[in-house]
Amino acid sequence: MNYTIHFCSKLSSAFDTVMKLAVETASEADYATKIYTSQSYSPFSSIMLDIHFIGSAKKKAIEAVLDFDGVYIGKSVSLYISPKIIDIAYDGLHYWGIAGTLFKIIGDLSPALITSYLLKTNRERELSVFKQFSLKSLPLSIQETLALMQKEAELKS
Amino acid sequence: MINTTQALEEYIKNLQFSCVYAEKSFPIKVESNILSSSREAVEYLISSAVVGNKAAGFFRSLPPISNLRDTRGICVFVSLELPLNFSIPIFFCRDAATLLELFPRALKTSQDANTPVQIVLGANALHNYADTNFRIPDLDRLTPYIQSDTFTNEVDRELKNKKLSADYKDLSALLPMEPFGETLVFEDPLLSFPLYLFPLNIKEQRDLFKGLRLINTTNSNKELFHYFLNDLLNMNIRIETEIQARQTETETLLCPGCPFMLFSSYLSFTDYLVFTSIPCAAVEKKLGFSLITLHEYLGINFKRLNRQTVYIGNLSELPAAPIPSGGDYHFIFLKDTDIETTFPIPRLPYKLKQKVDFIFPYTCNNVKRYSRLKVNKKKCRCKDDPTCALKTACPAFAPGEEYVFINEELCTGCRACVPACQYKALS
Repeated sequence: MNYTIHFCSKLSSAFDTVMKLAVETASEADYATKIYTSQSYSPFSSIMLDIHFIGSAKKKAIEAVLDFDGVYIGKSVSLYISPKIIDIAYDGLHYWGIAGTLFKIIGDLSPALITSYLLKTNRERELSVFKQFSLKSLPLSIQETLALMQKEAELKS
Repeated sequence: MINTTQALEEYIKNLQFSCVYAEKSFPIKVESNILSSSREAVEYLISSAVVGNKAAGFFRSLPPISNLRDTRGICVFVSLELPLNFSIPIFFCRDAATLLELFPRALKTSQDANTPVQIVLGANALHNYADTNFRIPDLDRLTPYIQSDTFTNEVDRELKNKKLSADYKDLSALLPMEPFGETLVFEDPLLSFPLYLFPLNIKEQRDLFKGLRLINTTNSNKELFHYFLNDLLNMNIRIETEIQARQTETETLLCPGCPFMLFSSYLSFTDYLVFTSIPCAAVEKKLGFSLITLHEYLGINFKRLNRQTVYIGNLSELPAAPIPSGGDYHFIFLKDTDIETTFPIPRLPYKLKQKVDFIFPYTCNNVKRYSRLKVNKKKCRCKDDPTCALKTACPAFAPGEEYVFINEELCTGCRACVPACQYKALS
């Protein structure tokens, strides 16, 4: 399965770390990744990283927006995840919460790399938030949308 | 895995550039040690490199280079837009991998060919990730050196460009040798477009682009696309264009304490046309102020207009342009220097007594910090889409569970958000 995930965020070191780990995790799971970025207008501006996780030769991809800081203002998409949707406060730890939901969208990724990184760097609070959201089910409406999209992608390919 | 923004910061830090200029609105935070306008900074950097200093400049759009000289030290200009005319070698980084490959190569070219070089960062090259080995290039150290004729030697650009092409045959060989097909679709950044553009080569290549139809299907190739438009139009080549780019955007946020946002919050400019000399893409996109120089503004107001105008610029621009009497000029100068003027200076940025003709206490380069704002938890009712954040585009705000959250590290206490809150919850 192919996935196109739009990661939106304000520029922050936590987002940077999450992105590096996400791309490495995808590479370990044999996904080819292509990363495109949007133009930022100031050193404090928000950015959007479009990452294509290519897992098969099929032309169809599941598209989702992971909005870390509620900064997405583009066209509405069926699969949109933000701290508000998964019910987590914007307290800095939410980057790890949103990162956790990536593993619910792309089912065959292993959270081991992120978990070991957080353990190594003694970030207990981040680890507990990450574990909570990588294990916890997504909200029901999102689960339904995702299942529908997966079904469509399989049929079309 | 390396973030290209951090890689650029490492290059600047480790290569020990002695002369660095960065426009405040450049999307990477670079410590600048020159305080001047972008146009002046170009001359500053080149003359510094002429005597052997390492010089680097970061611009959104590189101003035209009027006085090109042979440089002894490295001189590199990093910009986000391709120029209309090619006077120096250009290295276009369309993605993260090419940025890491080209940056050291551009520096080497500048050092070996004694010329300033320009590195153009495509949107896809910034804030991106590359899985390549990152290393700091080993470049010679020079001692500043000057002779009586250092600044009088004329440079034959044609000869210089020929030498460049000969010296860097491997680079120029990458230029396309056969005409492009009828349609060139920008859907993949790994397009067979040259990464190295030498002034001489690009003129020789003009026939390749005749009758070309361009279709842009991605956002990430905007710069290349616009380059094609600008450059080919410049060479009188007629082209058809079509933009199919997907519009996916994130919010444009301004810097904390942005003077423009304060003006917008406290001084309603509905009855004024606002001009500014401060190049900031975020301000331009968010507030729509027109970018002009002080001299251009004076020219506009040579005779009384049917509408009032105001010019926002840095105070250091003032001595360069004595203001003629009689015109209907209005100014707001941002205090970046200590020269004395007759304009009043409000003590606090949020206590602006008059709409125009005053000096604002700080500029983009020296934003002052005041006592931080606090949210009245009882009064705040915008937990999801806070109007204070939406109206001011301040990155310090984040929606909280019950009330708006202010990031204390970012908040400068400028109070641009206070009038934006209808519940008067910010104080």
